[in-house]
Amino acid sequence: MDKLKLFLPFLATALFALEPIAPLPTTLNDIDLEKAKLGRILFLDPSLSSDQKISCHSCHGFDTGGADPRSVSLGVQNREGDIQSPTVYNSRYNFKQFWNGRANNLSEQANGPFTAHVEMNMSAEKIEARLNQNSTYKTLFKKVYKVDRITMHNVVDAIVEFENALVTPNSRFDRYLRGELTLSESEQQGYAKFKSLGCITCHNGINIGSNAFQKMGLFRKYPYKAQYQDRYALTKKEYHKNVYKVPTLRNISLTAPYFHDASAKDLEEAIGTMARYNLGITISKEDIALVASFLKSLEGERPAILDMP
Amino acid sequence: MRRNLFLALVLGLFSVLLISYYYLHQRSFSQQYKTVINSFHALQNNYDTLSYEILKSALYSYNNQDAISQGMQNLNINYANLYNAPLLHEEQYLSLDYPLIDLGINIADFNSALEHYLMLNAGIKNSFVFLLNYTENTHNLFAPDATIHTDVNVIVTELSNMRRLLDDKHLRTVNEHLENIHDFAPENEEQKAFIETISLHINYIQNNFSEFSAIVAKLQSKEIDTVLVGLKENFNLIAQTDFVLIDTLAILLLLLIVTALIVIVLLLIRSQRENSRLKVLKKELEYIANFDTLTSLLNRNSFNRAVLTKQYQKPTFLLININEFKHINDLYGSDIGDYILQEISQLIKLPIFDAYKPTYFRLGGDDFGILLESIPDKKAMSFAEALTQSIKHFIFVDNDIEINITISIAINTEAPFLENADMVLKHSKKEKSETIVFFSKELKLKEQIQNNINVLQSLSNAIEDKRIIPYFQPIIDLQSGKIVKYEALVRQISPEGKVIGPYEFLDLAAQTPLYRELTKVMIEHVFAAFADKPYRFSINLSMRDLLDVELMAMLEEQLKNNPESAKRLEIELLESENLFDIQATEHFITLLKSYGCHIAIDDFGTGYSNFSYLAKLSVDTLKIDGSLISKIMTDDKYYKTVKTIVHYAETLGVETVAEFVESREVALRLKEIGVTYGQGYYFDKPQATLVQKEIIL
Repeated sequence: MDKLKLFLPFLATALFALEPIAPLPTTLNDIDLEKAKLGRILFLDPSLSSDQKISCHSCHGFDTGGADPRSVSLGVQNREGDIQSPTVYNSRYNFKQFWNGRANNLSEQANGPFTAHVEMNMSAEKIEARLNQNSTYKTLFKKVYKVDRITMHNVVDAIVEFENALVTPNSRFDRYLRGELTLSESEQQGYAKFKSLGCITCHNGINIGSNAFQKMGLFRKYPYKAQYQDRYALTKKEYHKNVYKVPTLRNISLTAPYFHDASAKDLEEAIGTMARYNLGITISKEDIALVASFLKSLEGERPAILDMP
Repeated sequence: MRRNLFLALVLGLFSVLLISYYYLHQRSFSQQYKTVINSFHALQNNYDTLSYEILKSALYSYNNQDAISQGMQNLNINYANLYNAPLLHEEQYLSLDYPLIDLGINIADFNSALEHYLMLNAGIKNSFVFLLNYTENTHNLFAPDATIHTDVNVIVTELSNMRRLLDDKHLRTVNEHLENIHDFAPENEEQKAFIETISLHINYIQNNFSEFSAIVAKLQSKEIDTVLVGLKENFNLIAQTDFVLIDTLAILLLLLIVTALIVIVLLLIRSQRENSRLKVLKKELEYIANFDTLTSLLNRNSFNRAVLTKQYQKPTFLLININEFKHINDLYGSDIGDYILQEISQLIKLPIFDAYKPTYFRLGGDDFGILLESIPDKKAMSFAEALTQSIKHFIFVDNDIEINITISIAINTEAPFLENADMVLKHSKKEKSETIVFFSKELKLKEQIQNNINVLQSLSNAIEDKRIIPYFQPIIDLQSGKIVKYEALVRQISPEGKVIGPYEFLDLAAQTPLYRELTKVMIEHVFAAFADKPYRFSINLSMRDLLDVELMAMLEEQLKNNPESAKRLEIELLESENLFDIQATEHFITLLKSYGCHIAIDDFGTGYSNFSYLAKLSVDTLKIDGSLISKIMTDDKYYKTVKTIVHYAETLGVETVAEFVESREVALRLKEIGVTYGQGYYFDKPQATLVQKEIIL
């Protein structure tokens, strides 16, 4: 049995070596469920925001692909966010977090929204004070972390553990990659187009994207607006203007609107925009439909942690 | 010893501490060193893998870039691990700080170059895909003889060469043909769109290629590798000194252990030496325990053991005692005493004993013993006689002094050997000095000894209860018949009032300290009795008393305190066997005479009486022994002897006293011979009071 366990990953590597896309794991072995469940409570709790109306979930809905269907999210006091909210699903596989990759990992990321003025508008001290007044939380943290006082460090740790569990396995395409099913004709043709047109150049890997930065408007100039925090906002290098992290395409059919500026209202429009600006081609309606068909096969299962008791 | 132990403990503790320190230091350093080296290797591996992945991304049309993004993250993580390694923040490694930061900058540069590379690579890759795919469409869009075919083909070929060779000189040719394409007048919208799209991609390649090739060059420059290798070398160079420190410590420890071993070996040698010394000492002690050191004979312990362990089946024991040995020691000193003991220890080893498995012992003082196996009693007696004779005729010579020694032997075959022999010997010696006695149970010695103890006990009680009193016997002037003096004689009164004469206790007391007490009591009584009386009086002292310093001091005290009485005192000196220290006697007589005392020689005419010394001493009176007097009427020899003594005394001008005068005839005869005084039952017996009477002869 042990030998088989060793052998399986090797087999998987060999089988998918030629494919530029890797499937998500079907089960997660590295999750501390106690922490993740505590993280789930925190994730859903609006009392962590200044007006006690906004939770993480407010802008990363579980039923909307882990993202926000609104063009911009509304924070406390209905303050508008400055960029379209990206999905929290499969975010553990992002090489960096945020559109411009300013956080190296989920722990770094998690602090952002808590303190952002337009999002939850809190501070570590305030959150700690609020949680430490809550006897339920105190009991829970005591149970999970063996501490008498709740600290921001533990809060972030629990949320990150929960986010690590937000993986959507067994999409049709993943199952195709594992040889469990055959794609439909249009899905197959769509995948072929996805590769031949060059989408695959940036959208590859386990998360089909999210492993590199790219300029929005590689071949044609895309309008630049300073309100969106791009790579340039971070590095001040001219060539970083309009450069963002390549977004994941997993569950992409669920996370409209698209792009940092929510400029594309549906999948077809987004495919068209990408073809024009980043592939430098004119794409036919037929091809758009085929690619869209492929993209829909990337819709995975709802993360198991959400439905755990 | 305690100091050595303490030193050893301190040294031991020090070594343990040093070893612990060495172990901990060495372990901690090894671990830290490993951490750093591992970080170096991780970075190196990381970098190599990344280079390989970059190459792959350049070659493959469809490539999974996860490995690259993971590699970039790993570079950062591994660098952070290296930078945070505690060892590198110790003082001696501070010089590595700058190169370390330099490495960090290099890595950051490399990562950002890599990010940029991925961006450009995507565009360039896609443009080539597009160009390769879309050139096919030119055949359908344009007439077969259109020049645009050539232009597109040349451009694609040139661009491909450029990409392969990373050489932008091909761009000039591309530009020429691109102008041709731009000059081409499109015949329809499709041709127009194609020209626009193809221009877009060619332009992209043209615009970005120099930057792209620069980035590729940068990524291939192996700058990180160089910095990393340099850093690692410098690190190892510094670490060498730490290794030297560890080596030094190890050598120190080795030295310590070697020293400890040497110390242990030395201690072992010393304890070995001590051990052999103890063995010698043990032998000596064993010898002392079993042998007499003076004579080298077996000692009393050995004798007891021989008897206890029944080494003899039918033992005969000879106890040999030197007669009057105490006096020899007193007279000649203990050196000569020791010499005599040594001589005797050899002399007793007669060859005649050899047939009877003899063992010779010195049992203490002047007692020697011989154990013999199965010797007939008669033979034992004759052997003892032979031994007595051989000693008697042996002349002990030391520093021109010749000494004759006699011994007494007790033969005993009954346990307890020593006690029985001793008892019988002491008993017999009272009567006779030279003797061979055979112990037998019939001697009833034990009863006698018990009797002796009883006598001494009652004497002791009598002294304590003041029941020792003097009796007085008058001494008569034979010419006038008048009492001229009294002799004081000791009497003990029993608790019942019975008067006990000196024959019953005096000899026994002479062997005990009671004797001195007795003499003292008598002197006190007599002085008290005659203090206010006009009579002369005499007391008896033996030669041995003269040698008793304490007694003599007491006597002198009395003389000083009673000068009047002293002039009336006469000391009757009793001759002792074997002993006549002429010097001590002279000294004593001179002393007494200075107080006005008279001196008499008691029991003259028996024993060792020596006429020669009498002349030397200023004696006043000779008391002729009673055994001579009692026989002058019946034996002419005694008569003549007494007559000679009287004559001799007259010649010297010395008075005579005859003892034991028991009849008128004797008294008359003595008077006739010319004896000065008489004393005896004929005149009066000794009694508690001083009789006053006159005798008519």
